[in-house]
Formats: sequence, structure tokens, C-alpha cells
Amino acid sequence: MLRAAPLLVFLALTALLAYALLSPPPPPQGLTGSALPALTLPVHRADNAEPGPMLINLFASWCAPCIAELPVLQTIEGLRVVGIAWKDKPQALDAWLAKYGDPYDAIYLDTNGHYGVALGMRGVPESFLVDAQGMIRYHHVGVLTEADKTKIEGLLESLP
Amino acid sequence: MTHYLVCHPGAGRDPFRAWIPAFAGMTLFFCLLTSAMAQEPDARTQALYRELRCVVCEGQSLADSQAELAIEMRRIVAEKIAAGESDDAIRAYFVARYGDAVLMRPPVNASTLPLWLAPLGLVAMGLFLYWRLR
Repeated sequence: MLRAAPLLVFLALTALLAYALLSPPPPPQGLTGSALPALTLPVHRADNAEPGPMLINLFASWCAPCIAELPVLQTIEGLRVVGIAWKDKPQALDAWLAKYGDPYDAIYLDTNGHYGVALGMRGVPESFLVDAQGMIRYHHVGVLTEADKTKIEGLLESLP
Repeated sequence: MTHYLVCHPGAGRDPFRAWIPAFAGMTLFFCLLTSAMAQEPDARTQALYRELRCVVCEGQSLADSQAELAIEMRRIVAEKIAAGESDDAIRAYFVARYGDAVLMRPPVNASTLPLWLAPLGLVAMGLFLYWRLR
């Protein structure tokens, strides 16, 4: 039994590491559950809607994958879509939205990218579900698919 | 320095010699100017750059990375230091957003304790087995 101990420990360790390696990484927590940092960025398109839940969407016209989620953002229901253009130029932004479709109720310019860091972003696109009280409820990294849209609409209904 | 122009034996054949002091002066001037403009961050700022991880390039610290996000994170660190924030407050700002993984040296807590203790445990087990099976 004693002679088998090193092998057993080795196998147990291998199993543990394999489990940790193969299980999907936990979703980013970051600021989920805390308040959205104050939106004091330059306004590219004014937000005239009633206060309520919103989807903050970090995007950029130089970001090719961002094109893929525009149709998803255009059809999402029950909240307003607020775009934050990360390190982008207003002219490039307008041309890009005219070409690929424009889902945004409001647009802010994060020219130096510091607001993105304040949100805990790693890259564009990323999206944040913010409730009517201004709390971040969900942080999605990467392109939004139809399935993600369904998930966000479901989360929206579960909000108080 | 007109000495070179009128009196030096080589002045007539080599008029450029007259310009040497001027060039030397200009070189010195631009050296001082560029070193003043470079604004190397102070030791405290650089220490924080080395402690924080570039979140899009994992293996590198902010000090090592030229990724766009890392450059902005360095600027944020410098701004916060200029605003009088403490090192702990700056670390906490990034940990709140990016988790413990943003620190190059993971903190010792419940979830990382096995990471720190496992090597000691394995060595202890090895010594025990060596002693029993010898």
C-alpha cells in the first residue's frame, strides 16, 4: 500500500488538474453587482430615452467581429442599447454605422479607452446589462449571438 | 571661440573646425532637452507597472507590454498616482475589475492556498516515503 502511494497521489493530482483544465473558465465577475461608473464621456448621440434598463455595448468601427452582433442588437427588446465607441473616430463611426446598420439609442465616445478599463473590459465587443437603478447585472465578453440575446432578455424579466 | 577662425594654423584649410563648438553645444542642448522630455516614470510607478498584469497578454506585466490596453492601464496608474491615490487603492481598483489574476503575484487566500502549500506537501510526502521504504 505504501509503495503504491506515490502513484495514487500522482493519479489524484492528474485527475484534479485535468478536471480544472477541461471545465470551462468561470464567467468574468468584475463589476457585476456594482454600480455602472458614471457616464461622463463625450456624447456622440444624445440619450433622450426615459431612464430604465439598458445594454451598454462596447464596440469600435475597426472591430470586424462587432459587425456580426449588430443585427442581434437591432432586434433586442425591452431595453435601450447604449453604444460606447472604444478608441474610435466619430467620422469612421458614422460611416461604419451607415454601412452595416445602426442599433444604438445613444452613443458615447471613449476616445482614450479609460472608461472601458473602468468597466473591466479586455477587448471589443463586450456588453453589460444595467438595470433601472444603474447596477451592472451581467457582463458578456465577445460577440452577442441570438442565444445570448435570449439569455439577456430572460435576465431582464427576472430583474425587480 | 573665434580663436579657431583667425589664429589656428588649420583654419584656412578646414573651415568646418570653426563649427565644432557650435555642433557640440547643439548636441548637448538636444541631449538635455530629450532627456527632460522623456519623463521616465519614477520608481514607485514602475514598481506598480511590474506588479500588474497586462490582461490581454497574460504572461507580461504592464511594464513589459506594448498592447494598447496595457498602455492605457499604465496611463491610468500614472494618473491615479498623480491624483494622490495609494498603491493599495490602485491595486484594488484593478482587482475589482479584473480579479486577482491582474496581480503578477497571486495573493494567498482560500482558493490559492493549495497552490502555495502543495509543493511543500509533496516534498514532505517524498521525504516520508524515502524514510519508510529505504
